Amino acid sequence: MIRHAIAKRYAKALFSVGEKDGNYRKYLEELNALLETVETQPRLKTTLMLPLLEMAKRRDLLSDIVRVLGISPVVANTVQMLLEKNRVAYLPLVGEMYSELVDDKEGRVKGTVHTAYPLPQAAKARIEEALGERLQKKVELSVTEDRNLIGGVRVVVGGLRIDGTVRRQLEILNERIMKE
Amino acid sequence: MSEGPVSVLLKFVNFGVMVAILYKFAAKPFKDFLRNRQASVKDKLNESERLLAEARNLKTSYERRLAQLDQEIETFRKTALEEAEKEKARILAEARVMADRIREQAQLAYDQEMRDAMAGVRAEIASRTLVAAEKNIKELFKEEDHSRMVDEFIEKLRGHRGHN
Repeated sequence: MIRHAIAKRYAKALFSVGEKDGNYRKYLEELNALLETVETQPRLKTTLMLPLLEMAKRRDLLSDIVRVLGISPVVANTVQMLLEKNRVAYLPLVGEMYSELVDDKEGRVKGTVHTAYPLPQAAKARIEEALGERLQKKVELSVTEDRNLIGGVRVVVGGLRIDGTVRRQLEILNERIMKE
Repeated sequence: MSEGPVSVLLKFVNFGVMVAILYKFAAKPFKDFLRNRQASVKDKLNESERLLAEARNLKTSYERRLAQLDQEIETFRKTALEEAEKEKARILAEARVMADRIREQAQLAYDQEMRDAMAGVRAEIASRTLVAAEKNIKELFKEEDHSRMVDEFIEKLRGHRGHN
């Protein structure tokens, strides 16, 4: 929870700047590009996070990455601050929080639909539409297939979890037997 | 041969002189000795009388205490019996409290064991039921059933009647 609170603070600070200068979407893309670079290069990530390495060297390394990726000074400064405070590990969480803020700003919410069988695109679109009506937001769902659910779908959007699977019904059956 | 009168007279004179000398030099010390001896004997007699009186008193005292001893023994026996009875009552009361406590704890332990056993049985029933139910469902469940469940799910979402 503390990690989330800290990451949210950075994300909010960056988003407020982006909202003012109208570049919040651009900052999201830059953050994602930076995250992709760091996440796909484990050695780079380790080097940035390694407190044993001199801060000046890590700072230089980050400046090089920022320059190569063409990241704007606002995002660069935010990442620089994370580095200075040895919080580079928070970067994925900051990206996640920032993305949520952008979604919220644009009236959009992301989530996951877990399904026991492949979900046709039409069914997915109907679920997104129905959820969108319910939440009064545009819903974007990613699909995860899980045969362990036996049948039906489970939707997780933000803090909301709606479970219509056979697995859940079996769990309810178990709870009822245990209560009796 | 018999002695002459002069010789006898001289012996008497000699004896008289010796008596005079003895009287002159030994009479006073002898008198003092006798006086002291008399006083000493008198003191000892007095002391003996005193000791005798003390002994008599002691004898009387011991006779009296001996006479009271039976009574004291009886009193002591009664007191000891009363104390023993009190102690017995106290031990019995403590034992009853302890027994009640042990009984109570045994009952609690029994209740807990029963609850645990029942929970275990319930969990076992639930587990076997679920395993059987899951096996049957998996055997019977088809993709069409899944599609129908998805449709129902969407309908419920539209009706704002979400599952948990």
